[in-house]
Amino acid sequence: MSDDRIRSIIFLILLLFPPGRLLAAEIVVGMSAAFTGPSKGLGIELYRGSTAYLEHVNRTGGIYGQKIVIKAYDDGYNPIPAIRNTIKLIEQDNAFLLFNYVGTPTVTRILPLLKSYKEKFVYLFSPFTGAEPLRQPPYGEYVFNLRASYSNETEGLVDHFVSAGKNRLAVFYQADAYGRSGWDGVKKALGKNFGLKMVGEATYRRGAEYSQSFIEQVDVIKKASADVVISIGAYAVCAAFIRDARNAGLNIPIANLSFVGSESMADLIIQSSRSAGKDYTKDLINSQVVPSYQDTALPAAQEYRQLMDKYQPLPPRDITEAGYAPLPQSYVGFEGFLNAKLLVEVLKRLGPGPTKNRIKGIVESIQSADLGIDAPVAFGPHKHQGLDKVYYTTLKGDLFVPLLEWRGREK
Amino acid sequence: MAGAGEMSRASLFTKTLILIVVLFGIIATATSILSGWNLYRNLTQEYQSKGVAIAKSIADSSVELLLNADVSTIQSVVDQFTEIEGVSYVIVFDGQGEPVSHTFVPAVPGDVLELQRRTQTQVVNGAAATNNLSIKGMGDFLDVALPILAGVAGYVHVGMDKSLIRSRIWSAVATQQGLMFIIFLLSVLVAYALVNRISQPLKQLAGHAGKLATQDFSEPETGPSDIGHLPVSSHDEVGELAKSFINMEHSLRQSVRELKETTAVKERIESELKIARDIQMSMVPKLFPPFPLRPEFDLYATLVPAREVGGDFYDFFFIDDNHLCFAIGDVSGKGIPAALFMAVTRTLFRTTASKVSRPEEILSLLNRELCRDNDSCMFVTVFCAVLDTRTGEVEYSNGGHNLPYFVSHDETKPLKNTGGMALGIMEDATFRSEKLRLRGGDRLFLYTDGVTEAMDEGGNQYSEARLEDFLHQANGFSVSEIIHDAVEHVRRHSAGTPQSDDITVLALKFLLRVAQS
Repeated sequence: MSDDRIRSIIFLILLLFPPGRLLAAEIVVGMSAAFTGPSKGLGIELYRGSTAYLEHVNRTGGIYGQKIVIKAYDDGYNPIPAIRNTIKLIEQDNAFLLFNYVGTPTVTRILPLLKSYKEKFVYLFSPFTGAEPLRQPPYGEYVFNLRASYSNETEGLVDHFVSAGKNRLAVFYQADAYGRSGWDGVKKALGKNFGLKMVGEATYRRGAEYSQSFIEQVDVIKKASADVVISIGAYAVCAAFIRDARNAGLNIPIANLSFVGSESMADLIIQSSRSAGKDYTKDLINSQVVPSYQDTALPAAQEYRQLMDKYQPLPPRDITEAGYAPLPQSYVGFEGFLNAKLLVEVLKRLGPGPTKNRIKGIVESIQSADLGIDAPVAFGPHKHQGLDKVYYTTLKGDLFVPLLEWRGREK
Repeated sequence: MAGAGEMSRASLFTKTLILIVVLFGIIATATSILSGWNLYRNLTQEYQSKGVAIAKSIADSSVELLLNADVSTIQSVVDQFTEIEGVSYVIVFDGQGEPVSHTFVPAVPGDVLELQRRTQTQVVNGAAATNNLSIKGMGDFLDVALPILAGVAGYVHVGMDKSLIRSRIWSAVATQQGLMFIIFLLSVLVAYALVNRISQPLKQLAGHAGKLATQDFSEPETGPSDIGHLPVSSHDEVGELAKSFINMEHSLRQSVRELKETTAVKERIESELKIARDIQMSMVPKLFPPFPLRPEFDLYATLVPAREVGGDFYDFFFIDDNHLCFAIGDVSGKGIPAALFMAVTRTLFRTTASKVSRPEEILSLLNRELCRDNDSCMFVTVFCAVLDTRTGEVEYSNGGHNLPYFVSHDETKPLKNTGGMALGIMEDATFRSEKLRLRGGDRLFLYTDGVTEAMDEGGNQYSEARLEDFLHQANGFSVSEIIHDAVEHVRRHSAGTPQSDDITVLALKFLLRVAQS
């Protein structure tokens, strides 16, 4: 073999597989989320919040010159498309990491994929779910969560309610891994901390619409003589449940988890309050995993509102249904914004020419990162959840505002 | 005729249709039940094993998860299985019997919880328990329950939807019945065509048979038969029938032709026989009273021939002025030969009587003449008498004939026999004469055996006894009255039976009163 030939082969190899990422102009992160269907508000707002920050980073030089691009696919909040999208993102789009996935039933199903691609060092960053399997063996090591878990949220809710004298808790939940995760959180919190059992439970099928009736479920809860309901569902159904419960005279406090996307739910509730001439907005408590974006004391909240106003990011084209009116700001959007901040932080720490195999070590070494909120973000080899603080909000007017006084909820 | 054909075809078709409907009804019901049952059994089995497999798979993958209390992942596992066709629900209980993951909306039915309580005591040794579960408002299910880690970790129930089995059965049965219906329609069409094919020839046959009644079989066939094509076109019973029909017609035509010929021959013979009878009748005197100028006696005779010409005769004539010869005879046998022989006898009798005058001589001579050249071996019985009109003396001789009766006012008796045999048998036969004297009013009654042997329906002969009685009672009648009454009497006796023999009677009444010397 002549030297010329060896040289030309090496050249060809270098051309096809350039060393490092120096030659790549973009870092592609893959996202599969609900951009259609009853939970589309979550995927879209999460995407828009992230995009606002990434746009800002990209316009101010990127990460060591590389731009960050979100390659987004729609899974409609269904597991099978989520799996398909994930494979496509890894195999075809060569995503650097997976980012901003939405939903428990979808994400829990792609976890084994992460394990099977472990040679490729595929990590999922900041999925929009608080489910336990993302935080526990055997798959917890492939996921880096930012938000607090559902059990953090449910435990907090249960603690507050029981402390406020509400012992008869019932759960209204989605009949899938998400609902079960929240259900389990409530159950464990009741049992472990207070030796109580939930008095009733009702399920609904994932994918149900706002227009459907949930009077059956309301009846189940009513029969259990509950004095609090914790809903673990998607915003459209949770809003419909509130509507049907109030219509049926079930006027007890109804709590919802962060997953509902408070603004999306508030929109529906306010709409139906108007059309029915009834006030459905009372006694609603939503737990959040990010602080209120209206709290201007937080630098991140200021930055979020400023960048959202500035860029007014659009939903991803091609995969979004027409007729969706983007929210100016939202808890979900703010979570997306913070997710993007964490991503940028991680990429920065990876240095120029980031490689996947180093991701785990870098993230686990983050002791205390400041994203501009009231809590620092910390990871560790056995800690793949950056935040664990839960914030409680209640609907006032057309906004979910921080809930300050639990006793005030009592009659 | 066409209407009847249409009707017969319609009724044939209706019968066939009813038969087909009944048959198909039975087949459809039987196959539906059988395949439905088979399908139900197989599907239930398939569903059960499917349920067991799913339950096993869930149980296997849930052990660790249950022990780690990772119900969210269990729910995720459970959800995956509800995507499988036929799986209606999955529920996992923990070791304490509390449901930890399930797919029920809006809540776990009480029936399932109840079943789990039963299952905990029912399932042993890790075997699956299958129960039929009917959940109010949800339907019927096949519940497969399996313990996880021998029940320590918990239990899994998989509910297989029975309505799917039912709908599959119905769709299979519907498909099958659809196919059956198509076959049924085809069968009806085929049956209609077949019935048409059978009834068309039958109709033609019926039409043909109807025409036969008005057909003239004596005429030769005009052209080919209008059902001649049937034996060729229908190779079946109908064809056979048509063939028989044509053969029958041929035979009918032939026998009619033969009958016609036979009738013609018979008619010819009969006309010849009639001529023969006319000739025969013309040979006996028929003009009565025969001798109106002779007051000494009265004579009347008649010959009533049988249908066939026979061999009876009578005759009378004057030999000279004072002697009246009269005779009666009966030739053996019947028909033309007898008639001819009678004619010969009658002719010879007249010739003979002109040569000799005594009765025994007449018979002897006649016998000799008849015997000569009598190759046919025929014979004739003859009674011959000669009356002397002046004295009333009668000399008679008998050749084998029935003896005439003598009838006076006080007695009726047969004449004394002269012992002669029938003529034409022996050439040298001898005959004797007897004499008697008639007085005024005495009568002689001559007859042939056609009188005494006339039979009634019971086979009883008229007999001499009846004749004697009749003659006795007829005393004082005129000879013509006696003859007419005698014939009438015999006819009455044999009423209802055909006349088998000539009836010949001759009566003579002597009127002259002669002074006894």
